[in-house]
Amino acid sequence: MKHVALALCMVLIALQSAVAEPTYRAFVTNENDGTLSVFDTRNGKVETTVSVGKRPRGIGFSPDRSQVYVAIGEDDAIAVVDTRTLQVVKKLPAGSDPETFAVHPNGHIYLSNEDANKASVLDPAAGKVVAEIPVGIEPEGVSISPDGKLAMVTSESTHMVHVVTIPDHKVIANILVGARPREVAFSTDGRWAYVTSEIGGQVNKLDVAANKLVQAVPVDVPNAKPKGVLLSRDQHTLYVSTGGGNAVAVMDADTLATKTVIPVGKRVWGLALSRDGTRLYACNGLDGTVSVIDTTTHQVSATIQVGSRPWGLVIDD
Amino acid sequence: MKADAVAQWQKRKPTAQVQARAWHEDFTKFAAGELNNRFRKAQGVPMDDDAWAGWAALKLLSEAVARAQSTEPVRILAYLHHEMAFDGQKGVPHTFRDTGQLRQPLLLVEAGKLVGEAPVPGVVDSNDLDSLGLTSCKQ
Repeated sequence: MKHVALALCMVLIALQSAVAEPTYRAFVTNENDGTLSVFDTRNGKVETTVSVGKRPRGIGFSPDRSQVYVAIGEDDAIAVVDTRTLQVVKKLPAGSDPETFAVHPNGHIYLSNEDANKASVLDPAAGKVVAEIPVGIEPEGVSISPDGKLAMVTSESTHMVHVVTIPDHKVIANILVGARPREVAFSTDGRWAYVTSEIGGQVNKLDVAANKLVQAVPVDVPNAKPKGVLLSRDQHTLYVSTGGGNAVAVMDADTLATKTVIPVGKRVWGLALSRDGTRLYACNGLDGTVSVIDTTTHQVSATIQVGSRPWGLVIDD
Repeated sequence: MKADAVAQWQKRKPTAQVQARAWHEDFTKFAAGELNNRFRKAQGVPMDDDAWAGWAALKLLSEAVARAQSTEPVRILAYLHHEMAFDGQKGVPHTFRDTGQLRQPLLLVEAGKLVGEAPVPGVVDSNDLDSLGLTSCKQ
């Protein structure tokens, strides 16, 4: 009996460490305040506000979600925040004006240096930049393919998506897309990359294997300035934030037709999806709020007051 | 185009002594701040109207060549006229009219200081670029 109990205990302990309990926290960057707003995704209540540094924009988790990284552009650094204690553990030098980034499964941070026409690879363990990759002018969006073999970086002023191989960091393609490309989202099978074109007012679909633009369709929202893009869990739908269009567009991932338009707050940029895909969160930069959208009804179910100029958010659920 | 911008501004502020300009070194909205910073860093002087126009001209041409995938003058002209949606870093796409004017927002400057943008919100729809300039060659 003792042996069975012991064995059972060990199994339970092993399971516990393999599947860490999420914090159920959402972390929102407030670009003007230099802070993160932290709210509980189960009830939408703001828990606290954490000072992180100057001009926080891009945000993303470490692979094990024990830490959240925040690009603090005017400090030329990435702030590292413990997702449990909410302490700012350290600040990693990230080169000039880091704006957005993607975290590779190997732990490296691929970030855009907006005013320096390059992307940098930051190794958090080493605490320093280990590679720099020249790209176009005003780099912004960075996304890593699901297989970890490619990074795509947008350059807003050159109007291109630059395709970079990992780990050798060679630029293998520079794809001309719609004007002012902002973000890239990969399909989970790695076949497609969806790019928002802010001034072109469209979504561009790229064939990843061919490094080719295959489809460009306008986002059917008046005054749309497309920025954030992500796929529904079933991969059939794209959610696109439209900036001053003040709405989230729901688009068909195959045809890029706009199916529904969800009005939200002013200057909507950052998006995040709950793990189960039932709730979409959208940051309304000029209202200082986050809209919570029910993805089955396409209705805004709640509006959460956060800090000044909310830019983006990530969810640990 | 500039006269239209000044007239719109003066509908709100009749006694204002403003000039309309294509650009201003203190314009930071949209991606203007990034362009002003880049220019100042590279040239050591602020970006003025002429500098912006020079930058825009070269970028319009190079982008037309890249997008039209051609160096044929007729093809490039046609592309510029009918297809080019140019990012002048003033927040909206700039397109060419039949009159040859580039549709674009303008900036209102008073005593050297940036005071506003045209099309002037509250006077016209701020997206109505055709409220500024010569939209047709016909009398």
